[in-house]
Amino acid sequence: MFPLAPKSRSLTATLKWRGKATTDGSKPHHSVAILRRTQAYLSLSPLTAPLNNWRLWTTLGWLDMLQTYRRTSLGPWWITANLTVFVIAMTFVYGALFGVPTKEYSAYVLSGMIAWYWLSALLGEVGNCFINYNYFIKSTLIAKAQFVWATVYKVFLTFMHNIAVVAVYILLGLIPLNLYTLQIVPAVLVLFLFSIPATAIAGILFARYRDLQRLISGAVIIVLMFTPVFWDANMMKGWRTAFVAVNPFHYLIELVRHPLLGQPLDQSTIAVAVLLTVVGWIVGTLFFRRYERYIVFWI
Amino acid sequence: MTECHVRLDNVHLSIPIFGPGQQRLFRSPFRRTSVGGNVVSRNGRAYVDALRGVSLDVSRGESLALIGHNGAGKSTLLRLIAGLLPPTVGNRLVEGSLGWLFDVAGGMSGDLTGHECVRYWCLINEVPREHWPSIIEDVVSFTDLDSYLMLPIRTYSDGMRARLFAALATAWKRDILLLDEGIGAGDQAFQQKFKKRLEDFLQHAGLLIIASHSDELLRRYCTRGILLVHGEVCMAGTLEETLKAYANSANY
Repeated sequence: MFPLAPKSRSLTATLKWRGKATTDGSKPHHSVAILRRTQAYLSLSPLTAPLNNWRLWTTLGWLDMLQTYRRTSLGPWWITANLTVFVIAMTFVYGALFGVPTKEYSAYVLSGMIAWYWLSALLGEVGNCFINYNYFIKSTLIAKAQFVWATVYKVFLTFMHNIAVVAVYILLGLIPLNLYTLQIVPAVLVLFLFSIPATAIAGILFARYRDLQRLISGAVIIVLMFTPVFWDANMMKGWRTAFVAVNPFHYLIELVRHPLLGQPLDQSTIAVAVLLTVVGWIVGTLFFRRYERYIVFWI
Repeated sequence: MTECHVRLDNVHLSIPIFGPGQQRLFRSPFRRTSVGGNVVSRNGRAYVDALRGVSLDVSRGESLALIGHNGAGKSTLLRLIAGLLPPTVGNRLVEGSLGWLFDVAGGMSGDLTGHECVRYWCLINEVPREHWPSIIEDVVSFTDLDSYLMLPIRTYSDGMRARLFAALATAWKRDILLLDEGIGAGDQAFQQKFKKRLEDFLQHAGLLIIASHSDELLRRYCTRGILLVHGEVCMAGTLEETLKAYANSANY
């Protein structure tokens, strides 16, 4: 793509270099060794670098959030308000269409939409992570992975604002609060971790190929219709169940939806989510390592 | 005293141009213009050869002026030294900590107040927390912006912004300082103060590189000069020699 540029250090070379115990050859205490090894594995991916400076990406993400809603009376609570209105409207129209009890359907749509907001951000918004911060990339030495983390953090903040509606539903007794609700913590952690490499890949592709954004913004609505957000997965019959079974978005939505509704997670959901995260990190790391240096020319 | 050194060996930088219709760029009017680098085609792609075979060597206590026509590669060269642009070919060796002032926008949202900007800047530049109070104090006393620091920076004039960001660029002790135009926006009083500050900086044996079209500004701070033409070093020497060569090349 840019033939004259020198190649970055290979993965094996990095491993060897990081694997060096101490400079004087003596053996470090094993706790130090474990710490070093953890650091070595973490540093295998340039995407983990922001962990050392979490103040920066949290600030970047938070300021970006404030910037989006500046001078509005509700501020970021507009997210919450929009979701509430949407869920109420959907409950009255689709609840009647599907013939599902209003209470259940409302909670179902709410939890599905909260998850969908996150996933739709992954399909669109987050692709602008480098384009949005182009000024910083062109004039500061902030590690590019910081912008990836900041963007995902912003999606997380949006999620936290949406969670407020769930709290209200719980208070109203529309959703049960039980031990299964606690699963939301690891579930969101997995989703957050999955989002990092996904954002890095999307950000690089969106920066290089500007058509992608237009293309995908049209496709998002189709994905929404094909994914059980408004309808139940069990409604699909016959060969059409494939739309659900092979749809990765379905599993990621279930990952958030079940804990929010106070239901246990399926093992298949956990397996797919973890698998996606692991594959995401491997592909994302290789991709980011390869193309990070060109980002400055593309934005 | 730490080492402080900037050295470039035969550095080339090609910047790819994207966008539909890039083939149009190869038509004659773009091939050789009096501004900018040369537009070339490689593997069917368009590139601007922004820097070609640039070598330079600056050490502690020296101050270098980058001189050249619009688009000669002065700012690009500064950004390359800063490490913001990777050289396509060649080596870049920089020893010592870097600070720079490329423009007076600073990448800050206009809604941040002056005080918030200072803190944000410290965070971005990874200044250790214990040094923040001294930097804030320094900026407050240097800029003379007083109560304006409480207001969002979108209410600032260019000169006021220049004060703020010039203060920030020089607040945190650096070995190497890179300046690009911008600072010209400040008024007389500010220029005096800033001159004093840069002189102190050079006394502490820092290293200064400035890109500018203002002879006056360059004469104030620099001793050496480099003349860039279409991304190539046309001549290097003392500041006066270089300025003279530039004046001659511009006149014919």
